[in-house]
Amino acid sequence: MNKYAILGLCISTLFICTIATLAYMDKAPSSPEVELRIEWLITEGKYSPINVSVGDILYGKGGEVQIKIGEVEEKKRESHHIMKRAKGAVMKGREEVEEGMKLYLVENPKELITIPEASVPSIEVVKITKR
Amino acid sequence: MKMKNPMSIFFVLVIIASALMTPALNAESNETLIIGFKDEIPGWIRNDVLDVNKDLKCVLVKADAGRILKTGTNVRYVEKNKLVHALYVPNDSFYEKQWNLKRINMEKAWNLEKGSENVTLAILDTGINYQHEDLPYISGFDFVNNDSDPMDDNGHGTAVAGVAAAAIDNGKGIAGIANVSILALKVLNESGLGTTWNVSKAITYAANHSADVISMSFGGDRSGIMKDACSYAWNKSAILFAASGNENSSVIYPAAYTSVVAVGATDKSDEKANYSNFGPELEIVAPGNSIPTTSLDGYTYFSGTSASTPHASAVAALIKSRYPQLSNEDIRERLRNTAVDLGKEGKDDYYGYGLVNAYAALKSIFDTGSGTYPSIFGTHNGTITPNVTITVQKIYTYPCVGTGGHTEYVKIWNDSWNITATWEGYQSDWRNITLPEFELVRGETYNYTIQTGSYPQIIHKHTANTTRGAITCTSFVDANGKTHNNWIPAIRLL
Repeated sequence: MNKYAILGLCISTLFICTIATLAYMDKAPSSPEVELRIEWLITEGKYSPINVSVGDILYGKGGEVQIKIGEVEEKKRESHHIMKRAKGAVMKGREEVEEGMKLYLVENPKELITIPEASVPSIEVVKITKR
Repeated sequence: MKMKNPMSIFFVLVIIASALMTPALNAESNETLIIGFKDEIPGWIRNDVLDVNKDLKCVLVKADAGRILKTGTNVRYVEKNKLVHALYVPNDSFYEKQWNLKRINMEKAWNLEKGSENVTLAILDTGINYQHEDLPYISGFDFVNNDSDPMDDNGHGTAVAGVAAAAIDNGKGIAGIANVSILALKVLNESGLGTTWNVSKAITYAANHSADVISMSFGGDRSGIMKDACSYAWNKSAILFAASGNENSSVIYPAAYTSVVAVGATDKSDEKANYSNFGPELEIVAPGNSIPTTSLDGYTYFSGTSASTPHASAVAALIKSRYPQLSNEDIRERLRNTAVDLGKEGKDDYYGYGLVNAYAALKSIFDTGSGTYPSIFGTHNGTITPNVTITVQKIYTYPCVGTGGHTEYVKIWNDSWNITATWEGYQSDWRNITLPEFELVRGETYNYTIQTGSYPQIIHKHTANTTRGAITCTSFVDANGKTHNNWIPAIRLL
């Protein structure tokens, strides 16, 4: 086999692999995306809101669901409430995630210890935008 | 004018004469005497009076005026006009803004104790800014990042540390309550969050490093491991304090465990802070609104039960500094017994035993401890010889279970001085008789007469030695008229 034939075979193989990879990626399921509502109650004794930022992981169902924050909108303050909307990608538990689900800052919220002045946010999945 | 009792006249004149003949007394009393009356101040005394307090029905007279004084059964007490210790006002630049310290009587307390470096106060929190100009040398550990650098990355722990232990009298910033050794244990991250696992590790670490007091301005849900950790530390002689929580709801954990003193918050009017959690577990309260303290980059105001907790824990550290032999249970009982009762009479769900009173908690107490059966009421006579100087404001008599067992009349005296008081019935602080503040001086012997009602506890000894001195029985005449010479009343002078 001459060198041109070997080169042609390599290029063909590379082409076929590329096409196959692209085809697989097109069919592979991507991470579901969700919209979240994050809410803090601010009172005289709870004046220090615990921040939720891009990249943070939130937990549901004792850690069976894990959602990574991808986008957080500016906060809105109404009287004693601070509200934010956020978008997140489901990293774990794509079958378990559902609208209305409560999410927490830690896997087991019963193990969470905070300063008494901390306003721990209430976080809820309001919409599943992509399955 | 009422008919005078010649013996009473003689008795009071002897007291005045004795006072006048005692050179030490004259030097100490600034040459004046105070005479208190049962009823109105009699008119015949007017010419000899330097000053009058009509509300307290007493007069101030020159000591040398005593030779012309006439008196009668209306006289309640004659005592020297003692020099009163000046309040200790530190020179820290923001001290005037520290209203909280006056509410817990720190200016008088600092005259007794400012803290010992032999006492360790462990602060479990977000760490402490140990480079702050107003905070002392601090050792510690970071359980969040698992290293030996407990630097604060939130500010909460630095605020707690400032309330408890900022340098007193350094001309800068604020005054802390107790200048003791600080062990900073970082258990909360930069957001103020932590886990029961790390908290429990830090509690056991503190106990294993001989922490005398553990201060925890945080909380969460009930946790088995945290409960075990608190019991472990308590059993290793540490006294633990924790914030009751800021939800105006039930007390959070670890404060709600029996091995922990739950601390609630009060405002500038000594009212419950409206966010402060409450319930049967609440044990004591301390100021919690707008408390000046240290921050990551200077000074700030700090509010919440987080701010109240270091008030109580630091006062416990002062007690341990002054009385190293006291156990954690002793210190806890002392804090309870000396708190200023707020809200409903006695312990209640909103204030616990009341507001921390540092001065009262640091004063020496003459305490015989409880007694034994048999018991009967009657009149006790005997002597008290304290081995430390004791400032007294109240007498408490241990009662037998289910009885009043209170003191109905008390008189304490020596050759130059006497004081008496009578029970005022089942109202307000009825288990104690409150007296004008006086001192029992170390090494001197004082006589006492104590008439008890209902069934008080009795110590069946002729002489009982206590940690603060000795008490003896000269005679006890019981309610049946029988005389005993070895029945001492079980009392506490505080």
